[in-house]
Amino acid sequence: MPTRHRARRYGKIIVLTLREQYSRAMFMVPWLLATLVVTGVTMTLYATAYKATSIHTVSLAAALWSLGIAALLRLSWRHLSNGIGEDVVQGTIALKVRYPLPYLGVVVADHIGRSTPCFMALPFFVLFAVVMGGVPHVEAPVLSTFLGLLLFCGGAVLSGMVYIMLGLNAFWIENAEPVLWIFEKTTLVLGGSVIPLALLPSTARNIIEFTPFAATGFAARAVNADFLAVAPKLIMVQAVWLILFGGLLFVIWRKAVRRLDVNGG
Amino acid sequence: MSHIAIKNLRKVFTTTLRNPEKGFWGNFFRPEKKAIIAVDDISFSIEKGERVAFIGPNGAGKSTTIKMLAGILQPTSGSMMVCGLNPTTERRTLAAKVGTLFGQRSQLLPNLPLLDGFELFGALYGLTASTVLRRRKELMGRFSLEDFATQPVRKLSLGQRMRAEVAVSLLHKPEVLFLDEPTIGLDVVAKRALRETLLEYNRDEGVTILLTSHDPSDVEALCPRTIVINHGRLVIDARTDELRSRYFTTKHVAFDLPVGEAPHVVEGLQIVERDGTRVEATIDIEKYELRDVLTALLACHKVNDLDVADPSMNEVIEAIYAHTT
Repeated sequence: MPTRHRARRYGKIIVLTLREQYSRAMFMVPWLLATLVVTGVTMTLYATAYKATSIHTVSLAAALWSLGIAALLRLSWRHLSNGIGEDVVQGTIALKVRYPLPYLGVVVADHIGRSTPCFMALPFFVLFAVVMGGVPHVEAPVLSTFLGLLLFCGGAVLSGMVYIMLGLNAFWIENAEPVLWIFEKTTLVLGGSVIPLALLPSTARNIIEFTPFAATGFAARAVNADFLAVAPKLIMVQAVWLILFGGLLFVIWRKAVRRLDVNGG
Repeated sequence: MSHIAIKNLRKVFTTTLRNPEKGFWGNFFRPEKKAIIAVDDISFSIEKGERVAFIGPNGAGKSTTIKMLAGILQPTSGSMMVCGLNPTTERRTLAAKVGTLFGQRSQLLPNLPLLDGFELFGALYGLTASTVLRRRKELMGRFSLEDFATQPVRKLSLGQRMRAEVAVSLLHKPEVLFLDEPTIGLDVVAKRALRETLLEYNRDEGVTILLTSHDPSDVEALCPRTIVINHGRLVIDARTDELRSRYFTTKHVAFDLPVGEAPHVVEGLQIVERDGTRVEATIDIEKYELRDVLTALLACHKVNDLDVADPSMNEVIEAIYAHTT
């Protein structure tokens, strides 16, 4: 099947699920507001607590932008995990694997459609960060933006893989919610959503930066002054995790398909 | 070559059992396992365009078999071919030739109108926009979907939704249709409408239908052939109209006697129940001629009303299940 034809089919699924999301706009508004409030409050706390213009070479603007990017990366991924988990527990996964398009491709396209409205939060994050901290100074803005986007995409794919694996866990542990909770909270702390990684002591940061939790949020480092110096290392680390988790996901999926069960004889 | 062919198909599930004596860690590290035979060495074949009922009590292995035929589950052993393809190794190619409907599960997006549901299936099956439009128009006419095609699916009645579900399953023009309880929860009118449309579609397009249902009237109305499985084993593969004669050699007779008159003994007439003037009886037609027994009955009574009927399909299926348990 030509790749372009397949991409168009996934594109159609994304558009349809996005359309379905908009048809439920009333459910999305409170959720989006809650996300904005949480990130806004965190940013405000930082802006209030910062006594100096920079801590540990991290400016207030960089810290706020970093928080915003990390928060954007975390938005809604858990729904992917929950969706797969529900499919497994309710047995609907057995029905969805019958389509000519691969199940995981369809659920990811479906999820992208559902989570696209999250990007509505982007202008608000930018507005908060600009109003409270200004625009961070970065060297070679074009190159930094490109590398930052690369890490953003890598982080999104890595997060997606982890959340799919967590969802598929339901094949073995029925309810993947506790494992999901542990991953999310760890990523929240080590992925830069609460504390920008650049603010951590260098020893701790050097260790944390090699974990997959941090690798999902490397894009947030793009607003730091030393980004271009550390970017090659971050890209390498992220690439290694992408390869490792890609292989692990392949193995888990193969094992999971063999455990497909039947609800109702 | 048969359109669907199964030979010695077997599916064994392994499930873990919790042993209270072993405690949490014992069960966690050394769980006890039990093999459950869902499908046990079944073989049959179905020709193109046939309509076959595949029935059995709950847990008999019907859905497991259908899911193996659709390539969803992998058999433990045995072989199967659907439309000349092996469902286990050629699932994706087969998916374009097979339509499936699981009555207890919806496959449409609940918050979007049915029109978008057709588009979704078009994308899933890789159909061009013009094909989707053409097929959608055909199916909407055939299944009478026009009146509610723009309403969100969640607002449709069950009958409307089920018609819509069948229609989207047919969008890619499958050669084989697996229907798993398509009329579940429908009222009699909706059931009849759906059956009639399916019969018409089978006649016009030559689609092969394999139906599972717990409703005997579905079996009777839709399928000239019935395969029965129980405990994973095939117990009957016969023409539907032969099932009665295999399990019942009796006719039901019901009649009204004049008030105060007691029924006489008539040779061959076995009284089953008497309620006021109404008498219900059976005649064993293997031992007695129906005409002779009725003539004798009418000779000794002034019967006001007389009904003669075969056992219902429900009774037939009940008897089959009872015999094979």
